[in-house]
Amino acid sequence: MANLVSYIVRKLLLAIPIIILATFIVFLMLHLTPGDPALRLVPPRHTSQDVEDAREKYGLNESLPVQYASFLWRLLHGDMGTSVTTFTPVDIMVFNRLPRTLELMAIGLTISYSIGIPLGIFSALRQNSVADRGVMVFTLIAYAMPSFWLGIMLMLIFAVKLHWLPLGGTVGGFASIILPTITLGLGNSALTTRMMRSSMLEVLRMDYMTQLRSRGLPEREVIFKHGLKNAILPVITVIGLDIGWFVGGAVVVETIFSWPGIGKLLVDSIQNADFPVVQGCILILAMFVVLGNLLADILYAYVDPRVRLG
Amino acid sequence: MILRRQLNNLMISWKGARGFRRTMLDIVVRGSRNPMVVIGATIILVMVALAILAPVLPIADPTPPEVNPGEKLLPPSTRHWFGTDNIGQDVFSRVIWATRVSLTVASLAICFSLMIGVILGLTAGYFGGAVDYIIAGTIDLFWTFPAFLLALALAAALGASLTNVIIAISISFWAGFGRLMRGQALTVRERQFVEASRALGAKNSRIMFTHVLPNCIAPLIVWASIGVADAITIESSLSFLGAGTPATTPSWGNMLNLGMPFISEAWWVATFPGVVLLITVLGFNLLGDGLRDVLDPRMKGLRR
Amino acid sequence: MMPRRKPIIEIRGLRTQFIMREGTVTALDGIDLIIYENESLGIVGETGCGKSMTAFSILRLVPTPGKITAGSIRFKGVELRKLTEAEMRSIRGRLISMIFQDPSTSLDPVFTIGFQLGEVISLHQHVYDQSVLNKKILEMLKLVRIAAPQSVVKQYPHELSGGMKQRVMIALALSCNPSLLIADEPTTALDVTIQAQVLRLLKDLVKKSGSSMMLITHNLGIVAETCDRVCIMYAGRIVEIADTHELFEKPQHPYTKGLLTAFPKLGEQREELSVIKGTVPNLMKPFPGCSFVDRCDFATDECRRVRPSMIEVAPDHFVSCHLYRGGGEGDRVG
Repeated sequence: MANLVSYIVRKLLLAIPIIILATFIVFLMLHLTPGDPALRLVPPRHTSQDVEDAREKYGLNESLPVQYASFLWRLLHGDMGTSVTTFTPVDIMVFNRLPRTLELMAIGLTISYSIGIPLGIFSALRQNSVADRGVMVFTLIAYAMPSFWLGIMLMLIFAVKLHWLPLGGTVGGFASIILPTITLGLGNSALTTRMMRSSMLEVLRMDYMTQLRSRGLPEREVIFKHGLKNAILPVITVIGLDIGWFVGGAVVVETIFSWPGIGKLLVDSIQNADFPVVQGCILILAMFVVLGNLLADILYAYVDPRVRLG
Repeated sequence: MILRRQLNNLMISWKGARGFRRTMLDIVVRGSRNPMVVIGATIILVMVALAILAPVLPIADPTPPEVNPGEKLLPPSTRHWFGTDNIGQDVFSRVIWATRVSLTVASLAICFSLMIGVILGLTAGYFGGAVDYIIAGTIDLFWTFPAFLLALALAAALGASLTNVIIAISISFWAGFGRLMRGQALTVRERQFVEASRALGAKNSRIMFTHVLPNCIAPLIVWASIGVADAITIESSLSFLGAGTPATTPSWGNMLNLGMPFISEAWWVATFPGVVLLITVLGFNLLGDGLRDVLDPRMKGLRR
Repeated sequence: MMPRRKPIIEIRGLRTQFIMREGTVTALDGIDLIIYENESLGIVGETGCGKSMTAFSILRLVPTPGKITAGSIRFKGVELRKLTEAEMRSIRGRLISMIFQDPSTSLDPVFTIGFQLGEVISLHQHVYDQSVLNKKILEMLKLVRIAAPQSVVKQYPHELSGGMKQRVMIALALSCNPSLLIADEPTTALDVTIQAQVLRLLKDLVKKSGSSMMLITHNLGIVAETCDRVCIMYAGRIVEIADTHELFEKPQHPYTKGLLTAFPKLGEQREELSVIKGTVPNLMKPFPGCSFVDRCDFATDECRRVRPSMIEVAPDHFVSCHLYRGGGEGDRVG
C-alpha cells in the first residue's frame, strides 16, 4: 500500500510540468499573432481608453516573464479574465458549463468501454473467424469516420428523418443526451476494441494460461478471471489517451448538437473573437486531460502490482 | 590521402543508400501481398490523382463567380452528381477540389512533423545524457497533450488560414515521430556497426543518417501513413469548427459546416463530403495498419 | 529382480500431430511408455524431440492446432482420451500436476501467491473456510522450504526470486497430493547455484509423498542424480529406456552413446568435444525407417526402410534399433 501512495505522489508531481506547459501555451496564445495584444482583450466596439484600461488590467506593459508570472498569479486566484462579449467573469461562464461537458464525457466513455471491451474479448477468443474479421472491419471504418460526420449522419437519420430524437440542445431532457454521447462513444469504441483484442491475444498466448489449466481450473475462470485481469491492463493505460481524444471530440459534438458545454462555449467564443473566454476554455480542457491521465495512472497502479515499484 | 578519405565516405554513404533501397524494395514486395496495403494504396492513389488532376477534369467550377438562383440546393442528378449547395455550387466538383486542400495540408504538416521529430528524436537517442533528458522530456509533454486541442488552440490564436493549420498540426504531431526515432536510435546505437563506423572516423551526423536512419524507415512509413490520416481528420475538424481552412476554399470540413443547417432539406450537401473524407482517411489507415502487419505485427509501442 | 510394480501411466502408440496449412508436423510418432508407482522417470532428448509434448498429451493440454491423433493413455487403468473435459479437469492439478520450465512466465503476475495457492486448494479439496485455507497454504509453503511464508503469501510473483518462484510452482503442483508429478525442465531457467537446491527439494518431496515423477530434461547429469529410470527420445520417438545406472553403464542405442560421450566427465582429458553429426530431421516429412538414420554411424539399408521396434536387450532395458535382435518382437514395453 505504501508503494501505491508514493506512486500517486510521484505522478502528481510529474503532472505539474504539464499543467505549467498548458498555462504557458494559453498565455502565449495572446502574443502569437502580430498586432496589439490588448486589442484582443476589448470588445469589438471600444474606445482607446478601453484599450488602455485593458493594458493596465492585464499588465501588458510589463515584460513577458513578468506578464506570465502575473498571469499565473491571477489563475491561482481563480481570475481568468472577463468576457468581452458578455462582460461576465470567464471562470463563472466556464464552471457553469462544466457539468454538461462532464456528463457527455462520462457517458461517452462508458458507452465506448461497454462496447469496446466485450467486443474486443469476443473478437480475440474467435481469432480469424468470420466474426473476428467483421469486428476488424467495423473498427477500421469506425476509426476512420470523423466524429462530426458521424454526428451529422446520426442526426440526419434519427432526428430529421425518423423524428425519434431531438435535434439538439438540452430541451428534450434525457433523449437529447443520446445522440451526442453515442457519437462520442461509438467513435472511440473502435480504439478500445482493437486495444482489448490485441491485449487479449497477447495474454492468451502466455505460458501461465496453460499452467493455470494444468491446475484443473475451469476454462471460464482461466479466461475471464485470470486472462481478463491481465489483458485489461494495457487498455487501462490507454484511458489517459482516450480522455484526450474525448476532450477534442466533445468540442466537436457539442457544436453539432448545440450541447451547452465548454466545447460549444469554446467554438462560439472563437467565432466571436472573445479571447479571454477562449483562453479559459482551453485551459480548463487541458486540465481535464491532465487530471484524466492522472486518474488513469492511479487506476492502473491499483490494478497492476508490478507498476508500483518503478 | 584526401582522395582516399573521400572514397571512404562515398563507400559508407553508398552502402547506406543501398540498404535503404533494399529495404524499400522489400517493403513493396511484401506489402503487395497484404490486402489492406493494396486497398489502402489504391484509395490513396485515386485520391491523389483526383487532387492533382482537378484543374483539368471536366467538372464544374467549384467557386463560380455568379450563380443562377435556380441552382440552389438541387438534389443529386445526372447534371450534378452530388447535388448543389445553398449557394448553388456543384457539390461533386467542390468535393474533388477539397481533396487538394486536405491532402496538401496533411502531407505538408506530416512532412514538417517528421523532419522535426526525426531530427530531435535521433539526436536524443543517439547522444543520450543531458541532451536526451531534455528532448525526451519535451517529447513526453507534447505527447500527452491532445493533438486536436493543441491544434485548435494554435489555430484559434493564429487565425484561420491554411498555413496556420499546417503549423498547428505540425506542432501537435512531431512528438509521435520524435518518440519513435528516439526509441529506434537508442536500440541501433548499441549495435556494432555503429561502433565500427565511429572507429573508422565517420562523423556523428553521417552515422546517424546513413546507418541509423535506414533501419528506422519501416516504422516511420507506418507512422507517417497513420499520421496523414489523423492530420486529415484534424484539418477537417478544424475547418468544420471554423478554425481551419477559410470558408472561401472548399474543404471537406467546412463543406460539412455549411451543409449542417440545411440537413433537413438538403441531406446531400453534408453527406457526400463526409463519405469521401471517410474513404480517404480509411485509405491511409489501411495502408498504415497493413504495413505495420507486414513489417512487424508486434509494433505495440506505436499507439496513436 | 525387482518385483513388478503397479503402473500409473500406460501409454501405447501415442501419436500427436499439428495439422497446419503448410503441412502436418508429427510431434509424437507412436510412443510406448509405462510409468510405475513410486518411481522417477527421466525423459531426455534434444529440443523439439517431443518431451514436453508427451507431458501435454497426458494432460490433454496440447496447444492448437495440435491433436492427439492415435494411441491410448491409461491413468490407473482409466483411458484418459475417453474422459470428458470436466473429468479431465478434476484430474489436472489433483491427480496429475505439472511444473513448467520458466517460473517467471508460468505464474499469473497479477494475483498474489496466497491467492493462487488458495485457488487450487479450494478447488480440489473443497475447502471454503478461509482460516482452514490459510493454514493449508502456509503448510505448503513451509513444505517447499520457503523462509518467510507469512510475507510470501501476500506477495506477487515478480517480487520473488527465480528459485522461490519455482518452489511456489512445486507447492502448487503438490498441494493436492498428486499421484504423478510432471516436471518440465524445472531447473533450466534457474541459476546454477539454485538448481541443486530445487532438485533436491523435488526429489525429497516426491519420495516422501509416494508420488511418481516424470522429469523432463536435456541434462543427463540431472537424470543421473534424480531418476530411477531414463527414457531417451529422438524426433518424436522413444529410442531407449532403462534403469538409470544400466543406461549409463551399458548404453545401446547409437544416439544414447553419442549423448553420453558428448558430456565430458570429471577427470577426463580431451582434445575436442565430441559431437553427434547432422541435425534433427524435419518432423513434417514422414519417413518409414529409423529417424536417426542420417546421423548414425552404423546405419544400414534396412534402417532406412524399416522402423525398428522396441526390443528388450536386457531385463527392463529396451532399445529401438536394428543393431539388436532380442527375444520377443516389441510386445513387451516399458
